[in-house]
Amino acid sequence: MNWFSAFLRSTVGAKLAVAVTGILMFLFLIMHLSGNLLVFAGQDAINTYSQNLRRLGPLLWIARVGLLVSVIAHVILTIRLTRQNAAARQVRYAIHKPQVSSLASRAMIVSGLIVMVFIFFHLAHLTFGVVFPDHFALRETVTNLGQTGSAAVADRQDVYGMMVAGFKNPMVAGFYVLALVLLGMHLAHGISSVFQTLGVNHPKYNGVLRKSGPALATVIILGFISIPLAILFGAVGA
Amino acid sequence: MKITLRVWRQESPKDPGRFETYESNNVNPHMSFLEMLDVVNEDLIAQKKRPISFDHDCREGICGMCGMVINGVPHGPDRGTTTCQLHMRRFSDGDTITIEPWRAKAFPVVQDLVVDRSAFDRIVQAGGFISVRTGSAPDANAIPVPKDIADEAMEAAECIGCGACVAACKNASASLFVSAKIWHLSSLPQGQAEKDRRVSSMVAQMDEEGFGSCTNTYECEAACPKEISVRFIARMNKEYRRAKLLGRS
Repeated sequence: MNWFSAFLRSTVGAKLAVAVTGILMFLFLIMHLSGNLLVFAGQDAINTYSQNLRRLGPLLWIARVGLLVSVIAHVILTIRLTRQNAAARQVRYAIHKPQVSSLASRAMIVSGLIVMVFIFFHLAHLTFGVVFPDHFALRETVTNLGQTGSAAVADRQDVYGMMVAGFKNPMVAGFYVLALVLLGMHLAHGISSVFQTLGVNHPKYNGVLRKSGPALATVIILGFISIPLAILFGAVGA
Repeated sequence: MKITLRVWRQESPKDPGRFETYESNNVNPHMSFLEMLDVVNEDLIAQKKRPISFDHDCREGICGMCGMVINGVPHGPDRGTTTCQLHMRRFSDGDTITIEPWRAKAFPVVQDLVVDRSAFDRIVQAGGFISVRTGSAPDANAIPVPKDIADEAMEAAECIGCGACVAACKNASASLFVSAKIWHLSSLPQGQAEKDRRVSSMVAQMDEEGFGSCTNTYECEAACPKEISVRFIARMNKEYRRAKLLGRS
């Protein structure tokens, strides 16, 4: 695999790996959003979804490991590239006026690192239950009617209750919204940028491709932000 | 016109350098930017001071020698224009103009506004050529090349190697230059035999020289006096991927 590590050491190869890992994380975000939006369908919908997700067992672990590897590779490679880029211009301009680039495209490392810190908090909050252990411990009692008519009473984690309890806190909801806006900035440049890095650049499609980033980012982020805001303002879980 | 210049002065590569301010009252709006610098230099010589060093040659926008960052924009405010083709009428009476050299580790300052761009030469030496003799100008249509491909190769070949792409990029990346130099050969039949080796060694040399990487901000395309398209960078990315992941190089 010497040739592959040499490929990743080159700037062009590293960028390609950043693009591919970015796509994998983007696909995860779409699935994550579609699952999360079930909170609007009520307690039973999202708790059942969460329960079924855990029942996937090995499949869930394959997805988790894939995602983790993508995140680690994306972060390591972009930090290395950013350091190389900083070294490539050691004396800065007294005056530098960007002509066409967006703020999002120039601030990828900043938005990316803040989102990374957010992901740590987010995992500690809703996946590991370290931030609010009492929210994490909430249970929902469910009664399953068997075919013989006998009722089996069981309980399961109350994801709905955990989300509602967490986002009722304006500090928590505010941090989520702020981080999601930065994630939106990151995606606005990242989604369009992926095409160029993969070599997709055609005058017939460039207009659509360059607008796809900002457009998709806006839709996805509005979807995510709607959840803490709906809970904070009492539209969900009141 | 009265113009105040804030110019980067640096005696030698080791000198830390500083801005110095000069005023000129006899700037004619029809002068090119370089002619204005000539006038300022005449004054400096009369005052027994060292004139401002800057690169220039053809002064008709085709050689690629001139280039400086004018008020934060490589080659100044006009699109698709080299510094020598920028005219003082683009400025207003009483303006202060800040002039800096290209800033990149791979382009060390030689003196004042003159930078050493031989990193570009070494990138071309690494693969920007065809190894066998391709003959003198062939008969028309002896080698059929579709018009759209010939046009694209010509578009890439317009690069004059001035370095404005590096100067404009926040990462001091040479991707636009390198991709244009790759594509004007690799798109044509004579250049295709060596295309894998070419993209592989030119990208390796680009990295070796200490240029940054492309983050698709497209500032290079906006600064390029020949308006070379970032489409060539996408071509380079694809060529490199194919050569490295599927080819033998």
